[in-house]
Amino acid sequence: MRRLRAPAAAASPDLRPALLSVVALMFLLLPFVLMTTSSDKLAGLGLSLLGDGAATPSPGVVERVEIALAGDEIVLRTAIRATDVTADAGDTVEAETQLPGVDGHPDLATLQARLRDLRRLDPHQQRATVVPADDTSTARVVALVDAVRADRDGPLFDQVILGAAEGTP
Amino acid sequence: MRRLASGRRRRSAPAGRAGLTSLVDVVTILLVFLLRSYSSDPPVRPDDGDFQLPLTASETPVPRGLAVDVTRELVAVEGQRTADTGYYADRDVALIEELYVAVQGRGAAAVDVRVDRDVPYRVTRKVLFTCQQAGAERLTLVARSRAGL
Repeated sequence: MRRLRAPAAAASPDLRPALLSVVALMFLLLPFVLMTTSSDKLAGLGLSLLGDGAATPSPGVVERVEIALAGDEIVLRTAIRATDVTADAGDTVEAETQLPGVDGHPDLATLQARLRDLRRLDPHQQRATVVPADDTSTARVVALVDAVRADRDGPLFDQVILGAAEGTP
Repeated sequence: MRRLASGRRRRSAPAGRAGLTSLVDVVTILLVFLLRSYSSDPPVRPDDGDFQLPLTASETPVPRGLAVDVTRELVAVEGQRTADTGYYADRDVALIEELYVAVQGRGAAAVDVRVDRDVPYRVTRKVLFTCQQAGAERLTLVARSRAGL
């Protein structure tokens, strides 16, 4: 009986050497990964500039979306095609909404809510023009571009065109 | 005595295996986390400690193009000082001539513009405009992704 049990024990080989070699390999890999990589992950924001033919009017309901930033105040300007029965073909309704800053920062949440409404009105329009004031820091410009491109529910206006305030060279 | 010894041996082997398995799990998770959050991109301006890229929510990889760095002091093309940031920030011109010559001379169709987070938009705009006028068809503003550490 004792002899019969002995081969059963030998059937389950010791896996520890194999596991230890995997652990050793991973510990070798770790410093290699840490040395050859950087914790700064870079991302690219593809942009167009106003005037290179990118801002042609859209054939959809929402013709134009422009977001101006001066200090911490955002001004949202839109041109929406008139759908009133009395309107002539090609008539647009232009609107301007001012969004004051909150605690010294631009109110990006309210801007995204407005942009989401516009996106629902015309899901095909993907273009928006961002016009920051000349003294706006690049960090703030990138935050605004991020807010215009997408919110928590998905993409908003992912083709961002950078413009310049009137009177600037 | 023989019984006790054999019993001890039988119990210790599975416990050691379980410990090793959890260790392998932890190291695997750590590796996956590091590979996901680390990047093989070369560091941006390692010689300039004050240089900081703006943060972005985007995770789109940076396409390889001509590197134009804009710090608070200088504009550099592929690490070579080309123009003075302060000088062009105050001048009422749209084009940075030295940058125009440098980008056009290299015939770059794609430009990656890496601007310090505190540089004013008036400079960033002039840099982007100059690169576009010099023949760059694709302009990318490089930022530090929040997905990194």
